[in-house]
Amino acid sequence: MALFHPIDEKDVTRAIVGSFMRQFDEYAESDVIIVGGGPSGLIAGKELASKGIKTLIVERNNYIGGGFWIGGYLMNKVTFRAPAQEVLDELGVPYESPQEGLFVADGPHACSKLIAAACDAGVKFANMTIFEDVVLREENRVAGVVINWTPIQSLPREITCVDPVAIECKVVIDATGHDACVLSKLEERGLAKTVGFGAMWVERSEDLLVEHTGEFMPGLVVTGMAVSTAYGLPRMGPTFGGMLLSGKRAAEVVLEMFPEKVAAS
Amino acid sequence: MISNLYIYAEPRCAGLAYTDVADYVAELLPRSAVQLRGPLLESKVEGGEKDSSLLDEIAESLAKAKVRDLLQSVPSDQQALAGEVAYERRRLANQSSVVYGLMYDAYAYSGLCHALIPQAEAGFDQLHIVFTNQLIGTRDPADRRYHARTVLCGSPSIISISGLVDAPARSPEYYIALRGAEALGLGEESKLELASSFADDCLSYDDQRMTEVVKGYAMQAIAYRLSGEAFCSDPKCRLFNAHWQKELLKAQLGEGPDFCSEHEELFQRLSKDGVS
Repeated sequence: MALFHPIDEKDVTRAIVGSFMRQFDEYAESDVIIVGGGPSGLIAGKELASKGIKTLIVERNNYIGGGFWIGGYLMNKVTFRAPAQEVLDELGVPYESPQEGLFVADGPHACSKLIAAACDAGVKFANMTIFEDVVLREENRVAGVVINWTPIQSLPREITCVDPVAIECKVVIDATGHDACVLSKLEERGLAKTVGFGAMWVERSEDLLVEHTGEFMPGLVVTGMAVSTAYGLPRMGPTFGGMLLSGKRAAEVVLEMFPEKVAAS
Repeated sequence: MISNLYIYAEPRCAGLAYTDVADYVAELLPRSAVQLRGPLLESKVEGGEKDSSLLDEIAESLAKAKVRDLLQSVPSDQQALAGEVAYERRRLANQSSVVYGLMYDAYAYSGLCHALIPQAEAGFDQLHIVFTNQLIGTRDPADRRYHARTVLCGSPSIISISGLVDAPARSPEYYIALRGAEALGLGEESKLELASSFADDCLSYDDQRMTEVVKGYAMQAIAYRLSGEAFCSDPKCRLFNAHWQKELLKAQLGEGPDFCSEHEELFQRLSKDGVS
């Protein structure tokens, strides 16, 4: 007797297509689209989805988690300064404290717990999906993103020219790290101005990054390293506390825009 | 002659005893009335909604004074991003916020403070000393880049607590060891350990020695007002313009008299007849 239940290939295909399309159709209009599935985007997504906010994370890579899998010098230990260990406690990530106020966790453990927490909260993902442009509404309010499959950009245009599609939302969060892709696109179109990140000064930069996290322009919230790029803050070293607390701050800012949903949750 | 001397405390620097600083100054200048006040910028916006336009104005001025590029002068018409203004608003409104790390053009910062001083207190016989936990910098025309400053003497004089910690360089040995740690790819843990091993040789933000140190910097502001020269070339005098942390600690905490004989005499003369 076979171990697995007999299923035809066509049924497997229909299961994939049907499930994907239902989700894609539902999330063609979201409350919040987060561009970038690194630590700040993930924690923001988790916080929002847990309050009933319909949240989609767009990630250009196949894998979610960004740089959270590894720390400095490709070593898979990630460091946090107090009070960021409180987020690790929330997520159930074990850590050790080599000295007062400093905490070290395994990158794979921390990252996978964070991804799982975001999924459990109800976040949906569009991975292998590249951000191409923003959707704008009246008075240049950001109201969605234009996306395409990531592999498209690897193909020569002579071979394929695939038009993107647009999905809508009430708020976009730029969590794309140093590149600040959403902000850069707006800057390219003359609709926003960023400052670019300053010299590395780890001791000070985490606080500044969290404190500057917020709405950059109507409909666009900026979090994580994109905040440094937006406001010319000192560039951060490989510490992740700022990413997590910035993501939480971004979620707080967005939640204020959805009072009715927060009240109902 | 300084008739009135106003010291504006920075509430975000825990452990700094401003009363001791005011007492020290008052003892050296017995003919001056020394008044200790709350923070200058924040005191102007503590009125709730009625002051919200002033809060906006101060926040925007601060955002415009931010040094974005150490190699470029802050343009007089620098525009502030909405998020930068919002950050300054939040920081001004929250006196428990200890966030620092940005650098502001010292002259623009001083200009903003000057504009908030009442006309009746703006005479040449009035001296205002503003403490801040923010970093201020001036652009050196020689190397055309900004440098962090401990004090900017003028009207008002600004003393930067962040500047006392971060402007004077630490010992060369520290930087050599830091470069070594970076070359080896060592993480934050090692760098923090390294910094703590040099802690005795430099000031830190919650340093118990800070009160004693700022007394000397307050006197530099006073000396500038009285004589047009804030600094002294004697490395043991409290008016010495220290460029290294070791120099700063030696000038402010070293054994022996507080000032060189020339400045000792100046302050003694002032305490007797009030003439500079």
